[in-house]
Amino acid sequence: MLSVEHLAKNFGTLKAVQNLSFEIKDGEILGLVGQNGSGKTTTFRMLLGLMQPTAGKVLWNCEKIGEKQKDLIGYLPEERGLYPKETIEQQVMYFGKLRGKAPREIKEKLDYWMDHLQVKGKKNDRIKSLSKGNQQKVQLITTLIHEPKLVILDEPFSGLDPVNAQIMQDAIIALRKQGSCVIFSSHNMANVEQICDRLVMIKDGRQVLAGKVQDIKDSFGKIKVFLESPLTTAEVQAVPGVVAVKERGRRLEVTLSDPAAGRELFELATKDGYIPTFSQETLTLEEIFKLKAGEKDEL
Amino acid sequence: MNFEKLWVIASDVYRKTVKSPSFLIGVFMPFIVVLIGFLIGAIMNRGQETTTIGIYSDQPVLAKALAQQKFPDLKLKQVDSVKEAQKQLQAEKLDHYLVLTQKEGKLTSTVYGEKVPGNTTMANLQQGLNGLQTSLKAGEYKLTPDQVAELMQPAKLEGKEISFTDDGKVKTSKDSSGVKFALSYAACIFTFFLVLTYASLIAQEIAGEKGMRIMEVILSSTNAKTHFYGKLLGVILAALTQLVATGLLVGIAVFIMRDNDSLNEMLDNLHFTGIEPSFIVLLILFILAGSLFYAVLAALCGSLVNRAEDAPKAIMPVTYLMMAGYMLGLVVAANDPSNFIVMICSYIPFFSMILMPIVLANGTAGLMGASISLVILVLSTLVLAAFSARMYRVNVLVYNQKGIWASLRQSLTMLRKDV
Repeated sequence: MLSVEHLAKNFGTLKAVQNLSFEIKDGEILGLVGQNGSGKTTTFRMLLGLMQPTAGKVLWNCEKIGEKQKDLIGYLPEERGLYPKETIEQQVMYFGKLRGKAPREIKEKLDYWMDHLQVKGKKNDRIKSLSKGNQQKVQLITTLIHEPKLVILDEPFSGLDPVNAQIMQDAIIALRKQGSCVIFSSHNMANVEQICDRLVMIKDGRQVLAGKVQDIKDSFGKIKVFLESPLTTAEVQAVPGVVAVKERGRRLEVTLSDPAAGRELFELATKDGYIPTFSQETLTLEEIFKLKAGEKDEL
Repeated sequence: MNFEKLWVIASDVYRKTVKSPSFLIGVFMPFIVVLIGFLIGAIMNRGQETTTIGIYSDQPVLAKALAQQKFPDLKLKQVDSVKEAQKQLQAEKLDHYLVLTQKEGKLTSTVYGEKVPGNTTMANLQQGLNGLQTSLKAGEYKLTPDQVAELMQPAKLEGKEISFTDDGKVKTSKDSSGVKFALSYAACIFTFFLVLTYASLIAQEIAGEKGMRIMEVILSSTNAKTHFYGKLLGVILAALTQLVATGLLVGIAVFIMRDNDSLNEMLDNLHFTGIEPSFIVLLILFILAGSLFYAVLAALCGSLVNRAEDAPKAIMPVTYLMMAGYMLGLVVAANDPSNFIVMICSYIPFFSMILMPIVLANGTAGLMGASISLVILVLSTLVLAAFSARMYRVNVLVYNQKGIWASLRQSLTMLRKDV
């Protein structure tokens, strides 16, 4: 289990990360989300021991994370790092051996992962001859070749087409089944929603949201209404509790300040009887992300 | 430090280095240089034409005697008159003509031509005339041919080195300073090229890893110190391999050419027996310690830039330092090894690996001096390596776009704060 307790990092006067705390249990996937420059990479670097925190600590099974735990960690950086002139096998072998694995074991695992991730290429193909998507898969293989207990993935889906993104997503879900702790960052909220058990959202280095994905969504209430009725935008906007109205073809997308305002809107829309659509829903993660990212004052 | 990971990194660097074109060029370079020199010599010899010189004397016996002498690329031909010589010169049958006169037993001669003959031709003519004059004088003094031969025998001059044994006895050996000097000179050139090759290699490797973000993955697997020392170890092993490979190739080349006369003549003139093993050991240690010193500096500089393309710019200070040592060694120390600046610099780590072998070969510094210089070099390398390993940990995660000095300042600030 990974425990992050009151983690903070300052660069001079810049407070890159402030008072960040979360836990990841074995077999759990945590999404760390936030805008560019919000402190995600700095957090990862502290988890990896590449940077010393200004305050707080990172614990692995109640023990301060350090040299001893390096072989337990698998890290996929945001900007992919592979030696272009090396072959797939040389590349994976090097990183596998650096994590303390025996060459025979690495070879066996490499065959498995090449097949499992559907890497298009042979083991002795040079990295530079592979497509971007396949290079990314090789990078993931170097991350997972030693069966890490803690997997840190910085933007694992960036640059992948939908088919490869699905393969990557399945691989991450498989790690949960193996009992690994997985933490990953992504700007793609759909991915986060689909595979995360819990998420932590940070803004300007501070934690602004944390919890189970559904709990977070529920905490905002059903403040989104999709409406198809004879009502005009102006009429809907005049309803108390309506914050914003957007036209989406024949439908209106209405944002409420309070879920209770939905009842008044429903009664107004149905006063003449049948309407084709009235759906009151929770916000999507993406909407919550945008909402929180746009907020000036923190929770 | 995790020695297993250190070895994984070192062997990876070693594998990549010995497979690189610059390593192969480094191994074969001495042979390529010798081969080019040989080819240029052969082409020049082939291009050299025979010079024909007409010999005229109012005493035809003298002209005939001189014309009978044989010289390489020089043909001497007796002519009957100066007019005849000029005619043949105009018709380009002669390149020059020489007028030889004898007054009071002394030979005087003048060479005429559209151009004055080259130095080699003039030297050959001088030698021929000297021989002729000696024969004339021998006849005058009624000397037998044996007496002439004895007279012509040059005085023998030989150099011998002496040293004193523990019990105060004098021990002599043949003069080996020439060979020592040649070896130190060769070591100077070898170290220079070795450092240039490996400094550039290691700096590019590190800058490349940093630029491609591989560094973050590596440092999540092991610590910066292990990575830094692993890189250095790999480079040193590759340099050692190059040293051994070059030595082996020289041995093989000498073996193959063992029947070659000019090689045997050259080897006979080299008195290897007089060289102390300590000189050779010191030479090798200076090459290795010097290469390591500069490899550490290059690694440090390479970690300050963000891309492999910027590595040559980053190691420029290293290259300039090495170049300064090289010039001091080849120009100043080679001509004046007891020069004050050379003496001082042969103890300064940046230059000692180049200068001390030359100073030692010349005898300006003794074994004690060389050992002190080597200890200073090794200690400096260790201190520099320890400092660089600490700096490296910070440098490799600093992506400063404002240049090398800004990166260095930022790294030093972070190091002080122990980021």
